Amino acid sequence: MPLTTETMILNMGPHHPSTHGVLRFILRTDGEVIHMCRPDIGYLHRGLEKIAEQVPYAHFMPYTDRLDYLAAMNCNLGYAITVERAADIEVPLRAEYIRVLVAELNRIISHLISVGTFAMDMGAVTPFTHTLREREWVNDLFEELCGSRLTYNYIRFGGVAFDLPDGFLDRLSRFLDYFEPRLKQYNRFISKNKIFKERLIGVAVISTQQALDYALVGPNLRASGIDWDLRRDEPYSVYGEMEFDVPVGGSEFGELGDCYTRYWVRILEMEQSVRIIRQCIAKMPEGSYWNRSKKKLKVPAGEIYVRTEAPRGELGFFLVSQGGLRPHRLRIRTGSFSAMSIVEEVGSGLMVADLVALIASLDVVAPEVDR
Amino acid sequence: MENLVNDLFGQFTFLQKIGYVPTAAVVMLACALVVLNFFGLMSGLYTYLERKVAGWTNSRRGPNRVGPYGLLQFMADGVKLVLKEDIIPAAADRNIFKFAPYLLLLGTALSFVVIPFGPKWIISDLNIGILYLLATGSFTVIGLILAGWASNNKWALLGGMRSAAQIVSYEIPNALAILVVVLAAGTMSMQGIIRAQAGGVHHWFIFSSPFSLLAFFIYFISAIAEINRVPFDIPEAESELVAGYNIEYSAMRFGAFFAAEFGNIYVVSAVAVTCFLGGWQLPLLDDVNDLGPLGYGLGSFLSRSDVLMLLLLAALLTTFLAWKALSAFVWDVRRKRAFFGSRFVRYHSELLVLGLLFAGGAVSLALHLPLRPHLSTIYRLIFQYLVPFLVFFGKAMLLSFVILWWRWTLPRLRVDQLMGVCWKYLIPMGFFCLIGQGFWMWLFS
Repeated sequence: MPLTTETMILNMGPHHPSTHGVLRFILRTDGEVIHMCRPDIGYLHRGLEKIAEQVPYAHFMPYTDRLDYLAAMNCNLGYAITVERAADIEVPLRAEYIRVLVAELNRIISHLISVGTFAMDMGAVTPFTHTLREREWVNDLFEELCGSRLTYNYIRFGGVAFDLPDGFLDRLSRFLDYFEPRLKQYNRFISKNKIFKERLIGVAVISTQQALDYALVGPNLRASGIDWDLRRDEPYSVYGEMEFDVPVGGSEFGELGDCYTRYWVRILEMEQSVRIIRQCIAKMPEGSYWNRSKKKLKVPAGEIYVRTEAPRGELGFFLVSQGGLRPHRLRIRTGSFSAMSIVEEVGSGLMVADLVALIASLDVVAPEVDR
Repeated sequence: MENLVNDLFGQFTFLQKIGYVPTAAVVMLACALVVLNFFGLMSGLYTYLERKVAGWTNSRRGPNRVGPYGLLQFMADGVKLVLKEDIIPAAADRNIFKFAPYLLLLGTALSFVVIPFGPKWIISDLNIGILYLLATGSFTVIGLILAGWASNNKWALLGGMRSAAQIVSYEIPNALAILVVVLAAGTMSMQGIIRAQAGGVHHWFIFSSPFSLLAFFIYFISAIAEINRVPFDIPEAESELVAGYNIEYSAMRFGAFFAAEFGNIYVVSAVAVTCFLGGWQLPLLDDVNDLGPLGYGLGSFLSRSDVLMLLLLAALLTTFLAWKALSAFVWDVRRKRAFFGSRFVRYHSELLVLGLLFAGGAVSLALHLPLRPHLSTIYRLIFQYLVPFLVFFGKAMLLSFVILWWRWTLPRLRVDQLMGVCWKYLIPMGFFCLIGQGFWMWLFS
């Protein structure tokens, strides 16, 4: 008698340890091998874009914190730059440097979480707690700076909410001195681990063409071999004055665009962020930190699209104003959303364990997907 | 066959008046009680140790609230597990669902029958002891598959299937590595294997030939795979299968799974110690084969170097305790704390007790031994039961620590890679070791 087998539908999430928040994947598997993988999003939809139409411009700033809670500073920055460009607001130089500094610091801790949870999804728990330990230090620094540890609400139109506290830059330098050797330690500990590399090299390869087709952004795009970084190619704030390299995935660690390359690009980006922060510290000018206006903010009628480089790639705000106190429409384009769209194409044919690696390597954050 | 009942029966004449069968029944019951308690205690100890080791590697503290150093945490956890509501999914196969964890537990508990604790301290020294262990180890896989199947949950099923594939595969290299030992020892009895390693550290099978050294690593790796520990924990891979086969279990049935898992760590370490690390033998012990039944003297049991080593260990321990106490004392003096309420008393009172016991034991031993070495019961108990037990236990704990340490350091393999490690590397290496060991013995004996 011939043995008949059939595929089964496996429901991965919304409560699953490795879906990083509330994501759901509907899998059709043959044993462990996935034949179809369909992301089902929307569990964290909070209607942020609709809220933006209901509140004055400045009041939407705290909501951008919740857009990507691991990189609140970058979301703040993207929104602030959008409104500033639309309303033609001047930003003092000191504020620009502070913004770049906090944005890069936030990129570091966001990537730390990414790297840590990646290792945890691969079964190694310890790197996660170690990266959280480092993140804790940055959280303390941010707490000094703006009073919060996760949702900062720090950047304002025309500057930042508070000046740097006394001695902040020294403490920041101390953190950087501590952090740089730690990165090498992580590499010894997990990045160069034989099992870790076996699990990731050549797994879930996203080709250059696929990355372009699905509009991948940020580290995921660069890992597929496309040299594109808005900080360098379309400089905003004072990024034009900074010297840094853009790490692009190569084939030195296996295939271009595999999970390991995506992981490795993030490790390299943290090094570059440290470089940028050091330059900010060295160049930090004196002066005003907030070009504060007493008037109610009114943005002239028109449309504007501004994109910035957040840890999860391009973060775009499309603002349509009809000249009132509130936006007529605010559309937010996030990196995690486009990253989720590629899961269906790359995910089929993988094993369940590889799908976990794929999701972790795309560094998807659920609130950013659903908004 | 050597076992505890026969030993006791031969040793104490009053037992002969009672008769063999009642004695055997009572002794067996007592043994079962002791072993089950030991098993429970070890599982608890391992949960504590695991969390402490996790704390150390993860740069956090681990349990430190319940009892001194959090030592009683496992009891609190156990009480919690017992008191929790036991949920059985509506669609589950109820009877199998209920039965599966106990099958797992049974396999582990049965293993303790042949695990030696000392030269005279083993429930039953079966002449096929090691084969028996391999057999009881296979209970685990039935339990896991039943649990995975009966839960009527796809994640659990995947976990169960993974464990079936994994454990069945890894039993082969496991058995091959043990065969190397059997070949070298010429016996399958646990005590026989340990006695075959008498005569110092270079006679331990791990160091006696290059092939058995390799066999040790094969055994250790495949044993870790058999008890589903990282890097081979794919049946319960948390980030993939949520919890694997035990996903639907709650309360004490869940506890049973964990008791079995942690008990298995001890079983695996104990077998590795028995087969490769000389069991309860001290590293420099000259010969233990010619020991009389119970009345031998110090000279025949311990060599001079062993006594020196014990003294050295004692000195190290004393220094450590003294240093801890002294540093706490200095802390108090610097802060001008009163004696009660001082750090010394609050945190290190157990050191005082330990130190007193230690000193008392040393003094009484020193006074006692030279006088009546052949008659002394204390001496007999200490050197026949306590010291070998501590040696065995210490070695087992060392290996267990490695297992726990790996758990918190390494990532896990993928299913196909896991099978690859077994079939492509471990099994060929196992055969190579077996043949190599044969040649080695033919050449050098």
